[in-house]
Order: sequence, then C-alpha cells, then structure tokens
Amino acid sequence: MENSAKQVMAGDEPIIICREMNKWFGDFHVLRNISLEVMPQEVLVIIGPSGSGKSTLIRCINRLEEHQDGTIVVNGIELSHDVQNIAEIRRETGMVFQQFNLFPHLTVMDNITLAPMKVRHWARDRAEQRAMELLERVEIPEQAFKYPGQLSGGQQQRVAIARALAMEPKIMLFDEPTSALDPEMIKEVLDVMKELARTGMTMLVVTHEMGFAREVADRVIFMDMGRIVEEGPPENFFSPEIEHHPRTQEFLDQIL
Amino acid sequence: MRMQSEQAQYGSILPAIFRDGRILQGIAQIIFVMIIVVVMNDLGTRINTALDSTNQSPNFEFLQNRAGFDVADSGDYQSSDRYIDAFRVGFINTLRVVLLGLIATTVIGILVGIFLLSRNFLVRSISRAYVEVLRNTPVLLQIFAWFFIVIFSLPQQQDSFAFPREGIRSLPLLQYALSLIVILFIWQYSGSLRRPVRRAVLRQVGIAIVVAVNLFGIVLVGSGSPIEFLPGIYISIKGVAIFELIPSSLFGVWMVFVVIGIVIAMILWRYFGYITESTGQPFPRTRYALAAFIGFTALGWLIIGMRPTPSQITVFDEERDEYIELDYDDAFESGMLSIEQELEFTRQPLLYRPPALDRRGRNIETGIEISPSYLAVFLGLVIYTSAFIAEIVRAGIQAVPKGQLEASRALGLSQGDMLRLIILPQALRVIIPPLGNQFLNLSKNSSLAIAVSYTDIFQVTNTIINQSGQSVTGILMILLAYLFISLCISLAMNMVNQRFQLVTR
Repeated sequence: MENSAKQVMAGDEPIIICREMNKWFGDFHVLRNISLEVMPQEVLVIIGPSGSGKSTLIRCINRLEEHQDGTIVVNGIELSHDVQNIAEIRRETGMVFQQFNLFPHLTVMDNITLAPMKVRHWARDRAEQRAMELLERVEIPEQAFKYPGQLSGGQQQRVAIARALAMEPKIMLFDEPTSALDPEMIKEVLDVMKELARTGMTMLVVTHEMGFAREVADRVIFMDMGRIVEEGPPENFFSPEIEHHPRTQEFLDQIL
Repeated sequence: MRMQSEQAQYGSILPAIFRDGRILQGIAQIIFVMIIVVVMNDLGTRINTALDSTNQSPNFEFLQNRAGFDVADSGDYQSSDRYIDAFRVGFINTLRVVLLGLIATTVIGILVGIFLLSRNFLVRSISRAYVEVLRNTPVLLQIFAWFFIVIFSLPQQQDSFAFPREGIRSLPLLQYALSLIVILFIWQYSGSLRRPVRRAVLRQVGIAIVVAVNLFGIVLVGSGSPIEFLPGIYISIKGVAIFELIPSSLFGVWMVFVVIGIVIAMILWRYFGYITESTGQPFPRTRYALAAFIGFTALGWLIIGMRPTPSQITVFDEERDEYIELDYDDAFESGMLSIEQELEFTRQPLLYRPPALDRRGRNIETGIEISPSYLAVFLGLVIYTSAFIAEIVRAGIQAVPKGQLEASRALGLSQGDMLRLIILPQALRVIIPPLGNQFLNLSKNSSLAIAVSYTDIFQVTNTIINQSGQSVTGILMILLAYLFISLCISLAMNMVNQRFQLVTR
C-alpha cells in the first residue's frame, strides 16, 4: 500500500484500520477484502460509480452497517457485537448524511445540543454555548431557534455538520453531503468542509465533487464492485500523465 | 387565422363582467344557496305539518313525567322516577362504556401495535393474527360472541370462579420480604456494571431464580404464617363482582398525605431535572419521585392507623335481639360491628369489603357488580377497536424515516433516548389524527349495546319513545348526546394534535 505524504509526516498510529473486511447484503457481495488505514488528521476522499460500496464502507465504520468478515478498529477499539464498544466508537465519530437527517420536531439549537447533553452529559449552558460557537463557524448563528423545515437545503446541511461536530468527534464521516443540494448551495457546504479540513479533522468523504477532492484530499480512493481499485494522492490521481487502472480511467473520462 | 377570429367573435357575445371567473363563482354560489333554502323550507314545513297532525311535535315537557319502567345497571334509579332520570342513567351508562373503553383500547392497541413490529417471529405472528381476525369481522358479531359464547359458558353464580381461592393458606411472608430486597439489590447492583451483557445476565437470570423459588412454593427462609383468604373477585354467568374500597372517617386525613406526597414527588422530579440541566449529571428522577410518593403515602397510612379505638362499644346482637356493650376488639373479631361503626372507628383510611352474595346466594349484596351485558359491550368494542389502533400505531412508527434512526445512532443516542426523544414525537404526529377517528368510532359503536340489552342511552331512550310516543324528541336527544360526546373527543384530539405539528416554512 502506498503511503501518502501526510501519513509519513504524522508518523502516528492509524486512527482507522480495516483488515480483509467483507460484507454481503443477502447474496450480494458489497465489500470485498477491503483493507484500509486512515491516519489522524488525514482527509480521505472516496469516489466511484454508484453501487460500488463507498457509502457502505463508511457506514461500516460507525456500525450503521454490520460487516460480516474481517476486522475494523476505530480509535483503538475493535468493532464487534459489543454494544459498549459500538457506543464508544459512535461517540468519537460524527456523520453527515446525504439527506441531512435533522430532527424535524426540534429547533436547530435542540438538534445540536441533544446528543452532547444526553450522551456526553454536558450541562445545558455548556452545550448551548458550544452550539452557538459551531453555528457561527458554519455561519448561520441567526437560525438557531428556527426549525429545520424553515431552512434551505444548504443551511440544513451546515446545521447537520454543526450537530455532528457538537459531540467533539475525532473522525468525521461524510456520505455524499452535497448530492441533494442545489448547485449554488453546494459551495457553502464545501466551504465549511474545507475549513474543517484545515483545522486538522480526520475526514472520510464520499463525494462526486472532484474539485473538492483535488483541493482538499490527502488521498483519493477509487472503488468499484466492492473493491478498492486504486488509491493515491489527488495530484497523481487527476493527472492525465499517470497511467490508471482501466476501470478508473473509464470513470474519470466520464466525469471529468 | 380563421380559428382565432372565430374565437374572438364568440367571446365577444358575453359582456366582460360575465366572463370574470370570480363573478361566475359568486353567481353559482348564490344559486346553490337559493336551492338549499327552498328545499329545506319545503321539507321543514311538510315535516312540521305532518308531526302536528299526529300530535308529535318536539316538546320536552313530557320528560318530567313518571317513567314507570325499570332500568338495569341503574344505580339509585327507580321506576317511579321521571323520564329525564332514566335518560340520565342511559347517558351515564354510555359514558361508562366509552370512557373506560377508550383507555383500555388505547393501551391494548399500542401494545399490539408495538408487537406487530417485534423482531420475535412468534410475537409478531400472533399479534398479526389478532389484528387480521378482529378487524375483518363485524363488531356486532364480536359483541354477540362475547355475550352468547364467552359469558354464557361461565359457571352459575353459586359456582363462580373466585380469586383468590377461599381458605386458610400458609405463606412464608418473611421469605417474600427478603426476596423483594434481594431483587432490588440485584437491580441496583447490576445497574453499576459497565458491560451490558453481564448486566443483562445478572438481571434476568438472578431475578428469574428468585421469582421461581417463590412461585414454586419452595420455602427457604422462615416458616409459613397462616393467612385467611377471602375472594376479592367473582366471575360467573351473572357477570363480575369486584371488592369495594370504601373511604372511612380517616380518608380525608390520609388524602392530605397523598396530596403532599404528590407535591413532594413533583418538586423532586423538577429538582432533579434542573440538576441534570445545569450539571449534565443524569438522575433516574422518575424513579426517585415515584419512591418518594409511595413512601410518603405509606407512611401516612401507618401514622393515621395509630389513633386509639374506643375500649367499649354498643353493638346489636342478632341472636339475643338486643343491644349489648362489648370490648371493641372482641366486637371487631366477631364481626358484630355495623358497617357504619367500622367506617367510624377503623384504623385504615380505606375499608376493604369483598363481594358477598345475599342469603339466597342470588344477588350481590356488597361489592361492585359488573353486568354481563356491560362486559360484552365493553370487551367487544375495546378488542375490536384495539385491532385498528394497533395498525395505526404500527404505521405511525414505520412512518418515521429510517434516516432519523441512523442519525440518532450515529450521534450515539441510547435506544431509550432514541425511542423517547426522536421516534415517539414523530410517530405521534402521524398516529393522532387517525387515532381520533377510532375514538369516535368506538363512542358511536357503543350504540350497539342495544343488541345485548345493555341500558345505554340508545336503549333507554328507545324505551322512553315506546312508552311516551315522543319519537322526534327522543331521537333528537340521542342525537345531541352522541354529538356532545363526539365533539368533546374531537376537541381533545385537536388540542393534542396541535402540539405535535411540525413547523415548516
């Protein structure tokens, strides 16, 4: 496996380790022998055609999907059926979904403070203070007491990012965060993600935004048919001079 | 070109004012109202003349006349009372079915609805069968089935099923008390275990062992104490008889303790809620509040019971047919105290009176009696409606998008918090409007009581109409009574519904 520059630089233990991971949906083999290591502060972008298993891969990391074979170790804790371990891993990983999945019956503020208060047992004052800081960071502090239904898609997705960050996670998982957005809203969400990457958050991003991948990623992974076909730093990945795997070339030809 | 000019010519025939859509709509509405007024007026006049000619115009004066017929399930009503009293009895009987029925059917419906979503195959299949059988057969048939099949196959009154069975049995009370303490200890200790698997094993296996030892009558600690059992519930073809709890002279004082207990519980609940908000530290505040309430009311019961009883008391001796002076304790032991004296001098705020038959063994003399026709109507309506409510609850829970569950899990919320804070509020939004419809259905279906001669408003008013001939007034009164009940239910459900609406743009 080729190491990216940042991995060598950090010289740390990987924060996510997948070894020989396999997953089936019934008879359908979604993930085949996935082996992957992610270093702290690394930004990993996962691309690939739909149905290639990229969403399933990151959903396995916080156990929204169960892997059937191989091992996943997140932040030093192995994912198994042990619910205590699952809870611990979920505390340390935030997730942002394609469909935002904000809680429609709670205000923006309550959406953000809910988990810190219930899971981390913070006092309300502390949770609300933290929520306001995060809302300022995603640039919508004035929306704090509105309901999700009153916000635009881009604003909702930024609230969703703030909600995930409120738990102060070590890892952020992004599952096609801009795919459900209008073109002019994509930028505001990507800007927030870029800012987050600059602060050194470990990020796994499933996306079709090649511009984002080129600009922010430390490493790009191309997946097809449940396999990692190719991986490398973005400057190699999007360079026309480098010879790619034929499947990667086909995909890149279609989208670039 | 020809087409266009033709259209322009055709359009110009009507003046512009009659081509204005708003004006056309207005004209249509005026015509519609005029038709309605003419038809209703004609109909009303005809009905009035017809009723006048047969002397049947609605009037409410006859309600003051003597009814002259008996009503079952009627409390203190007698046949010498007025029609309006009979009507009142019917209305109360309808309310008895509807109010208790709504509570029971909601509880059963929610349970079955959750079972429908169970991961356990057996639970899921049984509840599915329950729903499909019950909602696909007529409710009238079900009421008949309860009445003619279930209740008619119960034993005669003198051979009633009795719970608990009468007699003197020996119970290891000390062991029961110790078992309770052991269970509480296991529960509390296991709560402090960090590994959920060990916690579950200790709780389930540990508590199961303790319960099993007691259930199979294994006596490990202490010897049995003989205790006399008097049945508290009788079930027979004549219905169900249940023990009474009669407030004694001490009841008022005890209620003070109860009210203070409630206040203390509420204060504790709020206080721990406040502590959780301001420090983040979680407390099982509902448990604390409940414990405080139960503890305080029990304490009140004990303290009140310490008041002295009179040493001597005058009682009526039936054998000697005269009044005699007795030691209070002797009189109490021999059961010679009258019920008034017991209520006056007892040490308990509530007096327990088991149901008892009269000397001929026919009628219930003390205790609460539930007639077979009430049971049939109640069970029929409750079970039938619960099948519909179960489906509504299932659909409501399933209507919560899967993404909501994923978001809650990704944030690390516990199963309980997810259910209480995310799923339930969103499911209720979907559940409440159709639930209100089922409540209305139950209240209106209660008029089927007439099929098993339960004296609800419909049955009683029917008798009133037959006796007095005042059919128009009678039907009007039934109509108003059901309208009143239905509007109350609608109003309540609308108020609840408003609380769960989502705010959108």
